Amino acid sequence: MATVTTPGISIAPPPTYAPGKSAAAVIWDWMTTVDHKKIGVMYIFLGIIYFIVGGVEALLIRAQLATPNGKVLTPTQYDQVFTMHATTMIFLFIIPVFAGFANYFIPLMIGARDMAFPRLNAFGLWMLLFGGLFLNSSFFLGGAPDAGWFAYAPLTEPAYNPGRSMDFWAAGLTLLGISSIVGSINIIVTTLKMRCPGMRFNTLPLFVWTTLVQNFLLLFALPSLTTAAIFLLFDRHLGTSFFKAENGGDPLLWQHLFWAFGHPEVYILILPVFGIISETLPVFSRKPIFGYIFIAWSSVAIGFLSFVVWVHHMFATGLPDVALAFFASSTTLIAIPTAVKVFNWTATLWGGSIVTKTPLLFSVAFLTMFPIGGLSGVSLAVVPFDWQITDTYYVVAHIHYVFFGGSALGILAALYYWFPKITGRMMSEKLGVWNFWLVFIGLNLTFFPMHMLGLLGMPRRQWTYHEGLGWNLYNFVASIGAFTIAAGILLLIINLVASFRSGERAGADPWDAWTLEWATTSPPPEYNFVKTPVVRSRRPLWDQKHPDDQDWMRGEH
Amino acid sequence: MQGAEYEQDSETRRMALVGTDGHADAHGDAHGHDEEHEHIHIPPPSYWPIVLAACITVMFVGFLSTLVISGIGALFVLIVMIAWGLEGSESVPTALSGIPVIGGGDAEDKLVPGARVITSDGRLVGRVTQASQNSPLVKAGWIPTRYGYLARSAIDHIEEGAIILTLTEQQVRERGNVDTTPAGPVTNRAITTTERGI
Amino acid sequence: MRGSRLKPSTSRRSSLSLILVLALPILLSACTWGGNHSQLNPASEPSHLINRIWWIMFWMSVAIEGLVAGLVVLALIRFRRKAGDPDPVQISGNTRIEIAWTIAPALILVVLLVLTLTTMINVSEPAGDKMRVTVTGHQWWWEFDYQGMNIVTGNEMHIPVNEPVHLDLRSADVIHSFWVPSLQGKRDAIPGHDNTLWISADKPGTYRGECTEFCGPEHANMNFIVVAQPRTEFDAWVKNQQQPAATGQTGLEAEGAQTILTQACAGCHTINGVKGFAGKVGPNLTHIGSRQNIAAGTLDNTPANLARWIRNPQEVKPDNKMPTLGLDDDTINKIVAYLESLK
Repeated sequence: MATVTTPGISIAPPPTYAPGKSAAAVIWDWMTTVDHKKIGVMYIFLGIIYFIVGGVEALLIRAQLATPNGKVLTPTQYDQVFTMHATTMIFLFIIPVFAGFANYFIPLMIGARDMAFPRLNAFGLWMLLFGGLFLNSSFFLGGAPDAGWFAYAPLTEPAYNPGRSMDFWAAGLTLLGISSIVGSINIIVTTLKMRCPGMRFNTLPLFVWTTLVQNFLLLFALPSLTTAAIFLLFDRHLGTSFFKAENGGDPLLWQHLFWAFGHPEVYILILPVFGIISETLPVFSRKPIFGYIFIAWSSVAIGFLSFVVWVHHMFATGLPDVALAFFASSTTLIAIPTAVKVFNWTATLWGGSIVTKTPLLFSVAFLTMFPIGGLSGVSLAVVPFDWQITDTYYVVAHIHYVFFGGSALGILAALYYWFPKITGRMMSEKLGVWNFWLVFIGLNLTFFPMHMLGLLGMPRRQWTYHEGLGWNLYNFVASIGAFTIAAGILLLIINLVASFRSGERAGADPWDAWTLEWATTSPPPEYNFVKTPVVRSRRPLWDQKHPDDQDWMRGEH
Repeated sequence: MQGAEYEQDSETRRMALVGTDGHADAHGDAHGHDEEHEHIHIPPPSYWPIVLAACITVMFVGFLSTLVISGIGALFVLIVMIAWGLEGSESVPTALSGIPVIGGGDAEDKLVPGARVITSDGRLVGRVTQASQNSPLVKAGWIPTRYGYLARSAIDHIEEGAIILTLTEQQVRERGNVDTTPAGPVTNRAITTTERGI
Repeated sequence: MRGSRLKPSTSRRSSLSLILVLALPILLSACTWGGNHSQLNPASEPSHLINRIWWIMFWMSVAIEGLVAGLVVLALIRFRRKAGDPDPVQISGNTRIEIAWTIAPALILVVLLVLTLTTMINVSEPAGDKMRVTVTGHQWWWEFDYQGMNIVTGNEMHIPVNEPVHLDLRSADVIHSFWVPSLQGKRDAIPGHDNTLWISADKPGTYRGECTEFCGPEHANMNFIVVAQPRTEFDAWVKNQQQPAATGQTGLEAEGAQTILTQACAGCHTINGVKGFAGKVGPNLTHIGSRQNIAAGTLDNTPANLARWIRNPQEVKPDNKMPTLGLDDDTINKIVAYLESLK
């Protein structure tokens, strides 16, 4: 193993997860830890578990819809499965995995020893665990929530939804909201107040930038959801009528409150990936990110704009044309900062010296798949067209190209990129390539036909469909694709487990990267850095490795 | 450029060129701006986060079953929040080395984490949580929890699993139970740093 | 060079990915454009306008995605690192280019926005008197009440060709959404709201519609049809619908007319002209014999299907609100005969 003898890095102390203690002591250690790295690992671990849970739910959906008049699930079973699939993937997979990477890497990337509020950090993790268990326990306690992850009133009112399942939904999401809110406070304060000397805002790694914006979004968007959930609980149990039309309430109030959260939520689910890609693409192209300032500040623009577009989820609800015109304009506007980033990332690759390892494969797949979701999203901003394809499989295609082709591919890139840092071992490149191709092909097989299904009139959230409508082949292909993705994810799990146990030892800096997390051992010691780093540019390790060609000497930050 | 170091205050506004010996003005806080030859402070573990999370969840379970459970849960949430607030947060120096031996000598003189700290008049003060060459860290109490460093000069002798102090309980109280910074470095000499760079 | 991990890999994956990225959209889009339930098969002026925007956006997206994916794949091929390669030039941006590729998409999007706003105006409801139908969404069927014409029917709406029809959308329970893809965009039916929509067909035909807002377990089986007819045929239909239920049946049908009064049907359904048959929970059955589908588009209207439906509605459409009454085949056959006679 080549030891990177970058000056300043301590010689490795024993890795943090060393055996030698009793099982009880290890469990106690992990239960009481406030170390951001251990907490980050637990977030990611939980997220991957729930990815599998949500994935099984997806496979059930696709098994049911592979053929017309399918008999795999009954209508009520199907409704529970599709509701929990979305709820699990959003709140229990994507958000926790991002929280995990943020927790692990933000202190490292800014040269700090831990987060600003270590105990609060642990608290957020445990709220996630208990909230997720609480929500999923509903399957065994009278039925899981079954009114969709968006839970439109009045379908969620007691008249149409007796039983406790929607209470599980509202209470469960409140518990998870607490987790996210404390996490976001922690990340914001840490990023603003604990940067090492020399790290100004324009020197922050882009992962830190985008995660900072994301956490502001969480902080300001979640209260809307919590309010809506509490109003729903009141309607269901205290006899209020927030959403009951017959008593002067308004079902549309639910939609406004929900989407005021829901739209920032989708940017919450993609912004960290914008940061991850902005870390991997430069390293694997061997040149800096193209247009750091544009990428950083366009993320801020997206953050602000995301609060004024929510009605585009409600174009068909009969709101006045003037309102629709405003939101069509704001939605069109928000496409611009996103488009700019895609071009910047492409320009990062162009003219580089590209190393096609697995993290790059996933990053490049993101770069080509996310725009498909972005383009279908732009079409949804065209109000009359939206009147035709909203609530059809076209929207399902859109959201999965951005959630899977965007967020999930970004998460996979991050896993392969940072696994060596977290565990001190490399993942198998061979398994990684197989993982990549199965997932990439599966993703397109599953979700591309859904564009057609929507255009051919297939509504979404339907437990079955009829013969003779021309939908059979597309649905069947989509189901094949789903199982292909599953095969790819199975390989991912195998890769993670096998590499953790016996992967090749990674050094401190296996990718020859440039940000501070690579300036300490793999895995880092509990205190991260022996000595707090002092940085002078965005690429402190580049400066160190190229003392005669440091970034700031060329006038770069 | 070589050997020059910059120092910034926590507002990252002021920057001053510092001499090549690598030292900067001492900061009083534990924000992680570490200087050479001093200790590395990291936050101590705590069980209050997981306990609070469990209590809040119980409270919500009560919303779905009986409000009595919610009431009990809410009470516990309040208690745990207060306990959390009162928990001392003296940062713990990292255990970078093996278990040191106070003043050299035999293994019986080992300062073992978990050892009881007892005053000269037989009162239990707390337990050692982190051993260190010169100033072990003692954790006292449950609610509230306090941490304090033990000066070597206060140690009379070490028995099996117990450290007997030269001080009486009254004297410990008067001294405030705390020497807030350990005397001397805690870092393990095997860890090297260099004068410049990261 | 530091970092022993950076040995480049060899494979043909770049060209394969190029093929996949470009071929997939072409392959999967070169299929039929759907029958009477597809917006790609427009049969009205609004849906023609919307269809046109779709194709503009489609080709625009193909061009943009093609550009991005093409450049990415090209970069992967052209700039792949080989062993011993030096570091590339460390460019970190070019403000002019970045401004250019901020302005260019902005301009395209402005054009799209203008197209959006003008189309919204162009598909808005034409002024003037027109036939008005109150559309009420129920879990899980559609009620059509022709205002001022004394016609209430379920799941099958007839309209005259080339004449705009005004729809008042209501809901009896939860949010539903009325959508006939070939004719018009959708609009939600929200309790407590008085949303409106207008439709018109520019050629005769049967156009399938669906509920497109999740409304409970049988949201999938809440379909309806809009039948556009020439004026004369439509007038004949209206006249027929305005009559009360057919009388003068003989044989099995007559027996059915008696039997049905002894069952629970009247609790939920209405048959105009039959005393005591005025239930409001389920669709109006006055002219059920003349309808093309039953159970909100779930089954074609044939005697065998109707018998199957009455025998066990829960097997056909699980969790819907029509209970399984446990009738024997004899009773069912009589009732079916009677109902099919209600043309």
